[in-house]
Amino acid sequence: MSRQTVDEQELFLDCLELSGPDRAARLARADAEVAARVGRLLRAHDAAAARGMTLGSAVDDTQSAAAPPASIGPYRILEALGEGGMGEVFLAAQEEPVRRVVAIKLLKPWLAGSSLAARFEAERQALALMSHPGIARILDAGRSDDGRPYFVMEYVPGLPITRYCRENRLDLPTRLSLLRDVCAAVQHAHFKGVIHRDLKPSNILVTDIDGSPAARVIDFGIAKMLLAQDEGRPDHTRAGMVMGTPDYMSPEQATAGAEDIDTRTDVWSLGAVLYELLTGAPPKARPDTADGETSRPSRRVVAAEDGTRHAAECGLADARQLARLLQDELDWICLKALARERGDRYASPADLAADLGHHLSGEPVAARPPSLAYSARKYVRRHRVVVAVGVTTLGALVVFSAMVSQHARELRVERDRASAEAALARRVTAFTAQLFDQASPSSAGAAAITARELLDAATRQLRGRGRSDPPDVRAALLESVGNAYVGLGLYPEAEPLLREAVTLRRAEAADRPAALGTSLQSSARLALGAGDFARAEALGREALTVLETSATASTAERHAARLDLAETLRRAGKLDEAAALAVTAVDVLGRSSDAGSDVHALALYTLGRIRAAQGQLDAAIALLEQAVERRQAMYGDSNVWTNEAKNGLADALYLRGDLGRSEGLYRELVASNEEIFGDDHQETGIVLSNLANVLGDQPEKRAEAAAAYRRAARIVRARLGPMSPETATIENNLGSLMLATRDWHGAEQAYREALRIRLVVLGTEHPETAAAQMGLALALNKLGDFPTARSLLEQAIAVFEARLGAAHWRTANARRYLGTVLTNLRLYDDARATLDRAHADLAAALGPDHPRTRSAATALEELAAARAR
Amino acid sequence: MRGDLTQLLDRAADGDASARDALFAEAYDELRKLARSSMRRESPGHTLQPTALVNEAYLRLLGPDVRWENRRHFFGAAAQAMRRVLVDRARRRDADKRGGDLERVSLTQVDVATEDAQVDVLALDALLAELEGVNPRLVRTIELRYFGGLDIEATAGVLGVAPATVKRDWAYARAWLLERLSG
Repeated sequence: MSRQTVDEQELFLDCLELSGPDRAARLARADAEVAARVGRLLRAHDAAAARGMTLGSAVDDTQSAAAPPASIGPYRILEALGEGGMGEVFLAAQEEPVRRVVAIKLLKPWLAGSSLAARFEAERQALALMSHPGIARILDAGRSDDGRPYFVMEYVPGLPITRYCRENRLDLPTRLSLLRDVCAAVQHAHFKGVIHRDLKPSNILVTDIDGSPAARVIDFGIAKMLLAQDEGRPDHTRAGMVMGTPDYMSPEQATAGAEDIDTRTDVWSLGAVLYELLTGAPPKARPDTADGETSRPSRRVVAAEDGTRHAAECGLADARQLARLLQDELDWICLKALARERGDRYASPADLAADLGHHLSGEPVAARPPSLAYSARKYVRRHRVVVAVGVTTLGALVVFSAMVSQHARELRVERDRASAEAALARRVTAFTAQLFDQASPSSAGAAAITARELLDAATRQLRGRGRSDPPDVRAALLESVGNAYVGLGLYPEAEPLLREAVTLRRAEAADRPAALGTSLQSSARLALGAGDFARAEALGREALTVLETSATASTAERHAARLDLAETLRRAGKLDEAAALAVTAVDVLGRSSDAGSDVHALALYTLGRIRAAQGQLDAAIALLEQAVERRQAMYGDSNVWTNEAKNGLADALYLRGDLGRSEGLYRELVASNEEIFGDDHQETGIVLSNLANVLGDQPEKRAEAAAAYRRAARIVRARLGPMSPETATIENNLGSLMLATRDWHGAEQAYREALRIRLVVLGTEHPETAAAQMGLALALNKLGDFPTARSLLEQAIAVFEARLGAAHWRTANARRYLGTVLTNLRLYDDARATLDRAHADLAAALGPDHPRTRSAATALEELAAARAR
Repeated sequence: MRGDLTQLLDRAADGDASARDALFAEAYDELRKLARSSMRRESPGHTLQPTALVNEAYLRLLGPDVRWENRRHFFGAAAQAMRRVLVDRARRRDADKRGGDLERVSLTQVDVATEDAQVDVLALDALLAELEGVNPRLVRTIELRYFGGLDIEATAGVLGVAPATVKRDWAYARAWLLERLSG
């Protein structure tokens, strides 16, 4: 560049700042030839300015050269204000119905009819959605005489926020509360489904209103409508943001393009503006951030040349004083807002605003210094060469370890000084999480019963304190306590905790989908435990969807969710879908590297349970035997998971009529559960009820069976309440035993109770509801109410046929009893047909020697005898 | 985005001049095609819209998911290519027997406005060539602002200078062009 041009340009720019006599004086001091050229340049410039352009204002650089129209619709154009990506902005006067000055955005002439016109319309719609004092309001919209769409906005005669703060020498608290207002405005936009995507000082204008500064967010020209119907259309609607402003552009905007933008993009940009308000410069455009890490504001102001000037603009003596004010809390807040990973940022502008509020009012902030793990990651990145050497030789490895521990010590010292409280909080968190794990019955054995007090105390603590924990930490705590409650069968206590955990996980779902999936699973298990199958199913389906679509979820996690859903569907009686899900899991896991893992064992168990429910007992027993073996190998013999599989196996054996083996397994389970959970835990109660079933089928053991049922019913009612599915099951079983002991009234009472609960909990179409109807029918048959008994059995058979299949042993068994009722009604031909079919189906399903098959044969003999009479 | 373009952008980012030339060629071809189809679609006398064309070329060649660094290099090349496309077209028109039917370009993006906000592309090109010898950065600024349609901040990003510098360069270059075009 020639010396001459530099002089010419400098003189020109100097003169632009001056007017009239000052400018003439300045030109007169310069070299005559240069002054003449600059004089011509200035005249050319002024001529252009006279047509509506002024140089030197904040918006000058985007002015349009086209002479503005005299009017747009009913608005009289005063001057051109500037130009955005798609539109020109004019200052205009409105005369009717009110006299005021407004801003009008008019689509650029060459864009009319193009796809960008849709974008323009989208901005208008975005503005129309919002109503907030921090966002310029839209007043009107229409088409100009030449057919270009325009919209009319409130005119904001403000300065960019950074410039306003600078020129008015606002102190730090005023700057912070101003930014807090901006956060509230952006939060409002997010609430309305609008992401701004181009937040920067020139789009945040500050005006004086009644002597205090008021900020307004403008230019939603490249805003993204979260719920817009044209989402994802790969057209030019993003062309306006092709070149955003890099300084205030979030890392994902700079690297990932427009597809993967969410509300936390605006959080980053707000953080960048905050950074500039605190340090005098945006975070990126610094030589000291070449490695991509943002330097702390407190370090930046002492390191930068202009630190003292900026400190003065904040009303402070020097950069050191400013640094002291920024150190720790404001550093952390900035870095949290500017975190590279969105999951590490504030979840919303409201959270950023809240933390600014905490700082202003002297409360502890949620932002924390970078964690040790985070620092260690950075350390490894910075020392990658050492790491690479470290894995090659033992000697280097030792050296590396020493370096790491030294570094960790330094970090610890720094951290402890910075935030002893934060470190303490982390330790407490780790400690209590550990306590909770121990309290869960699956790892704590008999001590679990006393865990209730611990959990209640933890819950009180979570309700009172802990609001300031980061969302992921709080969610983890809530899940620990909630799951432990579920483990203890304390479902109402668990519910609010797990619900809040899901809410927190949802907010972070984009980054930690697997955590949301797991949280949903916990809630689903709670709902299943509490007998709310519909809710359990809905949660289970969502958990599966979340994990299936998550890139980070492991195969094991996905199949665990699939199996949880299958189990829920089994319990809800939707056996076909349950089987399909479980078969997939068994097949895939059996062929994967997860073969033999705990999830594989879970798959075998779940499918075994479903096959048993479907009446495929041999398949069920084979699967469940495998599940027991694997879990014995993994966990040992007296363990909740081994017991679960044993219970399934014992149930299947019982259904197949293998009473001896089944009884042996149940007795083991009762003893083991008493040992693990205690005498009055529902798991003990449930297994007792199962043992009683086997005992009740053996006439010589019916007294023991009745005692077992009574104890089981007492435990389960106390634990799970009178309306739980388990209570219904035990009542049902008790009714069955009463039938066996010929206590018809006792049986009627028990079955009516079971039916009452199941009609509410399971509905009319559930096989277990049908089972209770069948039991009640048997009792009524003995009591002589044959028509009611027949009606109940016909209903039950219809449900069994629909849900289990026409040839299922339970359908056949119900048919066998209908045959007896028909016999009693003296409808012998119907009875004969019904019993023949029942006998054949039972023989096919359970074998000719099964007690139920033999019972059908007996019924046929009774029919023959009745006919003979 | 096409794989070879990714490589070109990466190499251009590393300062590889031949990659930058290849990038320019790619952008030029695409812009010429777009300009041709744009003229076919529109009525006679229609003016080209450099900004829209560059954006369209950008989206067609690169797609939306491009790193900022790479976008910079693309826009640097595309702005120059756009200038070439316009000049080539103006020259062809000049050579045409009908004559006098100069390619007119809307100059709404640049403040080198004459009465009808249109400028003779060849005159502008000649002035830019003159300015190139005096201060190349001013020319890059004009190209990016006018032919590439970038705002002050984006232009600063591409050129790797402070926005304030672009603003000053722009004010001066604009006056410089205005003075000569109106003279």
